[in-house]
Amino acid sequence: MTNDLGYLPRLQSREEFVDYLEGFVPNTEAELEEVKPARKLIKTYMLETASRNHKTPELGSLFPKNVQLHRLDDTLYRVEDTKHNGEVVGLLEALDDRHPVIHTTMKADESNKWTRRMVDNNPWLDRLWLSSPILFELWNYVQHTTPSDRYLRLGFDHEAHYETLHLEEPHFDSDDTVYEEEDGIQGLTERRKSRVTITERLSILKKKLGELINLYDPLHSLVQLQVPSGGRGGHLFYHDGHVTNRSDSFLEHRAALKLVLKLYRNITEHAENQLWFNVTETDTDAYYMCGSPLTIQFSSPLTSATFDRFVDLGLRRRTSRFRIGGYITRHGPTKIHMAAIDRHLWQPLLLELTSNQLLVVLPSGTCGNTIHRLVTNVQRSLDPKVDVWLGSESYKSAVAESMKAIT
Amino acid sequence: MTDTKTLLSDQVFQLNTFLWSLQDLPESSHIQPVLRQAGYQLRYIEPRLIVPRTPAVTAALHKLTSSKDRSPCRPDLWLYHTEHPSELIVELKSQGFSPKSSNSRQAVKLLLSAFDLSESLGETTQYSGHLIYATISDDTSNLEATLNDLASKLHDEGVDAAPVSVMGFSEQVEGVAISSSSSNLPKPAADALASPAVVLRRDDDNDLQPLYLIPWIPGIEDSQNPQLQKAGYVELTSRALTHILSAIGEAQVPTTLKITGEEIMSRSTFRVFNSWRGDTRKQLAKAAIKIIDQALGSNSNVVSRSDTQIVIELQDLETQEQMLRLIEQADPTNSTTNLENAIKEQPTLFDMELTEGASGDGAIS
Repeated sequence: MTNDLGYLPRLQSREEFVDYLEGFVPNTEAELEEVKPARKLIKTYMLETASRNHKTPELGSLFPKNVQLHRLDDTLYRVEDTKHNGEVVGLLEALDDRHPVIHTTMKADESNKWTRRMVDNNPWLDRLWLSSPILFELWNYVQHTTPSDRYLRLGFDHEAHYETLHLEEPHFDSDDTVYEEEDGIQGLTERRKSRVTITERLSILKKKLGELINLYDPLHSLVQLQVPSGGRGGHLFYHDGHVTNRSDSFLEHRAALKLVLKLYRNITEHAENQLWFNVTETDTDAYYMCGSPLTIQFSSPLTSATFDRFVDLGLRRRTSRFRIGGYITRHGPTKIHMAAIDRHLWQPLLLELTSNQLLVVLPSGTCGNTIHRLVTNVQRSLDPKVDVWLGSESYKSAVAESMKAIT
Repeated sequence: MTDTKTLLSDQVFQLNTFLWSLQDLPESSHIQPVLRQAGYQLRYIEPRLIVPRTPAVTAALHKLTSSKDRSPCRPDLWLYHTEHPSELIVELKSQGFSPKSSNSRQAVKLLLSAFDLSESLGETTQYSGHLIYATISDDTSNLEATLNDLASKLHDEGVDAAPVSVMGFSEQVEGVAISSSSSNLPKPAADALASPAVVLRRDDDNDLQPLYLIPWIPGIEDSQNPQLQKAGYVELTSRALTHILSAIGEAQVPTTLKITGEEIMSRSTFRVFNSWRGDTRKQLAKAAIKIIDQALGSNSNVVSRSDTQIVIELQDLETQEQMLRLIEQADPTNSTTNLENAIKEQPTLFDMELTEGASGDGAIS
């Protein structure tokens, strides 16, 4: 540690950083159980750039001017920020050509804030959205690869965010901190809100978790999963691509990231192949149409009040977590059509929302990350128990197939 | 909100309902892809069908239509079945017509060209076609009589005509359905449509208009319901605006961005715009530039503008953001600034000279 915020030292090579980060871990069981503020963990933010046929700027020019990337080798950059007095705020690593990650040792609130500033208004970047079906597939993987006496941590989160009127949409961050006003109208509103964290032995979870989920539907919205490491602790994956290394090895943390990125890339590219909607001119001077819609079906119809608030706050508002804007046409009390624009990469898409489902047509070239972002945020804030379809293929099955392909 | 009866006779609605009936969707969806479930897939939109080149065909054509014009015809859709050999050529009509109607000329050419589709596919072996006319269900009987009359006259002239059937769009308690009682419809379609098959399920008090995959058909302006035409302009403007946002938003600053009206309209229509010909195409491309110009106002970052393109200087992220916000604030429903206004403005003398002699739209009709 070089100071209180947790900047990295100004090292010159991958080897030096790996050595530094390998040594920079909690060592005792007590430290694993309780995160001490003085001893900050390695946090990684997994990012999305663009689909394979989208032109994007070089990695080095994706960030604002105050952020400088110093290349250490082909895929690793030291990240310095003049707004942090030129200190090393983290490392940027292109773990694959589509998904760079940022490793940092800054305090969680600082690193969350920094990442939000870098990503949320940057058209070239998005977070990696680990939707519940993706996290549940990782949970299946963990069940098959982990001794049953190990402890695991799972977090579930659903807040019926559009159910009642409130003044401001709170900002969620990946460490589950919700910045809400404590005074005023928000303090008086009541709405469905479930935030559950379970740390339990795998053997118990295997027996009980399914029953629990069937009993209480907010548990369909899985937002955290700790993938156990080979040694102690594990790697805590959050729905928005934030990962905390709670293991005793940075290298193992990196390997866990690579596994998840591989799954993510597989399912994203599969979804893109299935859904990309296109009309092309043929040699015979006609038009050929291909692609399928994305359907997100709600478990029960949205009330008209919820529907209206979702349209106003979720789809119209510029700062919405859905990152979608555009032009809305009403087709009844609970039906809209939207010529929409995804603010990640500024890609147009078409959307129909009714009280029963969300139907999305993604033109060819649209980043498949949009799908995961929609699913994640619909489950967190609108309906935890949705059915999602890529054309007529279940999204859940597609995720399972993508996992099979890599394991 | 538009009443269902008006919607049913709208060709844009009919085309899109047909397209949704062919989409890959889950069984539990509120849209039922009834033709896909019956095994049909879309081969082409707006295919080009070749009229056979034989003296007998030319003579029959001349006798029935008073013209020897063998130019290719363009029905709306071409479907194929995964197992059944007969290909469906689909033509959509807002209403039925009599043998004396001008629509009969197109029907005769379709009957002649759909009998064997191998020429239109560039193949050597025969591809049997089956001609389908689809219209509002109230008009199906009369339309079927008209088409059978035309087919029978072609047979009398000793030429082959494709078998023909009629499908009807109707409003049911559950929603919008397609049905057909034609006796010679290929079996998979006949089985699926013997009783009205609901494609668009009714949903609360909402209208039944699906999300349009193809939002606009040129050349129907004179016959389309004015309210639906207005809505079509709003939809097309909305899509054009998202593509303008996309062009500005994905530019890597600093740059000089050139936006052409042709490209915006092409992208807004999934490139189907490229097949439109004549005045509509020029007018829409020009109108797209006008809506950008109106949204940006007298902005110093607009370095040049013409009927066909607008050039914007994006020197930094702040300028880019400012341009994006101006486009985001544009209101597609405002008929003084949307495509409707831009396209309906009187052409100037210069425009008239440019468009003189231009042929009609080669559009879906």
